[in-house]
Amino acid sequence: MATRTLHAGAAGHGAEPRGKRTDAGEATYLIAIAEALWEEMERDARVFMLGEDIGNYGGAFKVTEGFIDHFGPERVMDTPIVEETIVGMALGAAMEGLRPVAEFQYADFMSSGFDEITTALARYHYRSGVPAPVVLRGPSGGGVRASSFHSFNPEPWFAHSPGLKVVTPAFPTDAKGLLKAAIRDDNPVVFLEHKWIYRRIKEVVPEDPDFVLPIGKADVKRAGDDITIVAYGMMVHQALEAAENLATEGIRVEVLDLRSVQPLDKEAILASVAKTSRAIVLYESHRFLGIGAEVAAVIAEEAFESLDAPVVRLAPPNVPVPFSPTLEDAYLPQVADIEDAVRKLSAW
Amino acid sequence: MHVKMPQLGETVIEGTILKWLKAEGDQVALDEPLFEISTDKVDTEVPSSAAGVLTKILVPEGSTVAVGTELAEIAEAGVVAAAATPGESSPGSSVRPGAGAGDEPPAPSSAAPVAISVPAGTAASTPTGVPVDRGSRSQILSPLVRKLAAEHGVDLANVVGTGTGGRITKNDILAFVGRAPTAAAAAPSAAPVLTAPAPAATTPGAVPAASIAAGVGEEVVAMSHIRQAIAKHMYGSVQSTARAWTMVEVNVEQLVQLRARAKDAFLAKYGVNLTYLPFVVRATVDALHEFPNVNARLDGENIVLHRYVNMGIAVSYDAGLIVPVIKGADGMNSVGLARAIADLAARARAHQLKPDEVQGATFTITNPGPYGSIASVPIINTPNTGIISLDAITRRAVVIGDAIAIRSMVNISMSWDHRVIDGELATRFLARVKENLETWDFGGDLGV
Amino acid sequence: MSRAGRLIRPDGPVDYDAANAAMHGLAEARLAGTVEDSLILLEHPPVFTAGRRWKPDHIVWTQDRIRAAGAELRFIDRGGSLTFHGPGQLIGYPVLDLGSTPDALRFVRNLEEVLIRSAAEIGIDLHRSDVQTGVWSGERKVAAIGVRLMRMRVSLHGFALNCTTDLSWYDAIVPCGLAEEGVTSLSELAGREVSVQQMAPIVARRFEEVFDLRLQTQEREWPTHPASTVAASAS
Repeated sequence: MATRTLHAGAAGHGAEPRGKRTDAGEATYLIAIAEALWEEMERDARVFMLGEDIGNYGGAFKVTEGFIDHFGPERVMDTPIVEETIVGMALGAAMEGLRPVAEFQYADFMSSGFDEITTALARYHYRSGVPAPVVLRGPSGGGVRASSFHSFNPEPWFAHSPGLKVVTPAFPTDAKGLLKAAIRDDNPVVFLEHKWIYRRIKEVVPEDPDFVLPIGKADVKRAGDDITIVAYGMMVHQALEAAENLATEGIRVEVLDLRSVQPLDKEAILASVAKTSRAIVLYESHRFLGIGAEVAAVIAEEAFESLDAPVVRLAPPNVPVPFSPTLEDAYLPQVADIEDAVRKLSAW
Repeated sequence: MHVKMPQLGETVIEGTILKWLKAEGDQVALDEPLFEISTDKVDTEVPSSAAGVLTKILVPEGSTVAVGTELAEIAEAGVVAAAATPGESSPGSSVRPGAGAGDEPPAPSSAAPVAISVPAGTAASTPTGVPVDRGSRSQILSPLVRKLAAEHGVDLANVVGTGTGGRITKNDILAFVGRAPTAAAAAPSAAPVLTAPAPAATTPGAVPAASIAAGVGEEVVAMSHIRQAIAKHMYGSVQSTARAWTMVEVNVEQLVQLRARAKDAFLAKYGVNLTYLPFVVRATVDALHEFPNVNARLDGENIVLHRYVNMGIAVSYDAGLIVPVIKGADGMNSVGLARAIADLAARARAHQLKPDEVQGATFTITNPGPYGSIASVPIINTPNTGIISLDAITRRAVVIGDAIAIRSMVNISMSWDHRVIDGELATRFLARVKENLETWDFGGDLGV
Repeated sequence: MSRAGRLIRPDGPVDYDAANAAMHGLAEARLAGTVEDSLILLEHPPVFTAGRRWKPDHIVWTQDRIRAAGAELRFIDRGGSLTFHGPGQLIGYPVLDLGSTPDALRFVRNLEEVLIRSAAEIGIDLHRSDVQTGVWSGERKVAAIGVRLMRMRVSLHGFALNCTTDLSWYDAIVPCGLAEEGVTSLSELAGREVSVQQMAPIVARRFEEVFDLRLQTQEREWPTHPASTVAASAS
């Protein structure tokens, strides 16, 4: 098979992802994800990728730029625009002993393969006893003025399908460690990469090719004694900024990054609420029946006696993600909204 | 509910009351400005977190107190207050068993302190579990607050809610639990000076029901109010003073002989017994005038020198210990002192002292001698600076010149507060008392 | 994203009494929630103000002499003792809601921070003191700070930064009751004119930074008639 030479893309990529860190050794969230994919592809020949424009084009967001030159078109496979078939192919490949990683150009498009994901893939092991180690990954979330076809948060649908794991990292290190864990996991995993975070957040990320983080474990990103904010994805960054501001008012906010939404780290959630006695559940999927609805119910049911105030949810309304920037800002919880909610709950 | 000095920031530790915007007896609405404070950073008026009647202002204008100090009390409809502490004289208050929870609060014009009303059906002096209306949301008890109250055995009626609308929050109950052991000691209204039992309204010797069970071979006796008051006063004195002790030996041969000669005539003429106390008081008064720093009290960072002597004389009686005070002892001669001492002691034992007769001592004398001790380390009757102990007079062999003789000797010792005076002063003071007792002619004073 | 706030910056000196009354009115409105946080930046005609902790021996001139010199003397409800306000001095009155459990110390420290950063921007190095509120250069005071809270929530009064103030006015008083401290101004420290006009926008920007506000709506006519202040804010 002929290899193609790739010219440096818009992001200035060229060689393998590790060469794309900053001088200080920091990797963006996007590069950390690329490193995870590269390392797992090198480690295990059964791992291969399929998706739209991931090969020659290097991916819509350039995650896989340079991959096809190194791994070849059979392991970095360009597909037509056929999400249902992509999932079907992945499941079929998994049945044959391979470990596919399917990329969705935008997580919004996963719903084109909804039945294949929730009926066929999710329940396959339950029905047959044979594991289906498939990773479905793609950019989710809003805040980038991409409107309702390109800003969706599909995690509640997939967290609601027994058999699927759903991972939603907020930081580069978490993204890398959790994606490697997802690829090594024998369960089907939906790995949602928040597009707002892709190039905005960077940090020094471990280089150990066996650096893996456990799926289903949350992480306290900021400790505090007065109020807990449970969040994931971009909302973690909003919460951290709000917490920093609120510290000047004497309110010490603890920010718990769920990192995975299925399974939920109930222990970490309850431990944090036991400490602070007040909880705000902050999430980006729609308020109604979103991930936070489950978290809030868990807290109310299992941490009842720790609560000094009602559990509050802060999430966007049940409306498609708006296109107009002003409307999108009104749709998403902003830092000021989080601060107001914290102040209100502190005074309850 | 208790109004406390608020905290305007984590590192702000105290505030000064500039002005009370309401007087005792005034009605106060929720959120109405109640008083103004000044801290080292900002001034502000403080809104009331309860609605009701301002029954008692505990800290006056101009005082600087620590954050959290109780400043005043507001009585709300149906509220129950803590039982009156022994330090407050409350001649009008009494427990009214059987009163309904809807009893009227005390009339605003009444000068009596907070009345105690008990919900129907309870006989105990503290309420059981009836939530009180201290604000629109004071009845909302979060699950955590309920749990903490149950865990720590807290009666929520005693907890002040600082949450919105008067809600009791987690921090309120944790703070309450944290400071509960010293809550009694922290009440600023409890005066350190022993006060007399309120005449006729309560029985001072009455012993409340014991609150713990007796073990095998044990008998449990609950402390009477007097006993508790004495305990608090004594403990407070030991905790707050830098107590030191000095003793002198005094040759009272002359005094013994004088008294032996004069006591019958004295009794016949004045109707009171002549003891050694009048002589000791006179000798001490002179020394107090000579060393005024001993006749003083410590007030914050100031030493307040009294220009008069009110001599406290410790008297023991059936309920314990009481210290009646001879006002203006420095204007009395031995006869007057003898009469005053006899009168006060008699009325003390009959439980007939008035409240102002047990307050205001500037110095105190205790006399355990008749019971046989030869040296004692008394506890200072705060806020005095010193207390003298007159122990037993004994016949002893002493050296006079190069010979040994038998003389009547007595040990007079003083416990004194080293914060106010030093050893040299204390010793010279006591030496002066000794000199006076050894050299003065007390006979001319007696008129017999 | 920062909270929205309002900047009120009238032209020309504003009479002290009118400003004081309007500031209290604005604070009431803030308490009621009908306006957002505000920062008022202005100058006063010459006036001496005495806060709660003033003592008679803090006034050196007689009151007659003060009036003869063209200044007023006012006794007001803020903390602190005596100070002077006059032309060439940038006054800031932040009317902010500090929340139900205000951290007064933090607020005062933040005001000091605003002024320190503002001076740094024009190359003057000022500092705060552990002992006395205010902003200092060495032993000399450049800015005074005096704050009061309304209903223990909303801030009143604020800071006074000497830009081109005629420092001889301070001979009339023992400033803030501190006999040993000198007073100076940014112009004196810089050796060149540093005016109120120059400092006001810098202070406004630094205020936004420290208090995380976006200040909008520069009102140049203030105070309006007292009765209409609250109504105007509420609309």
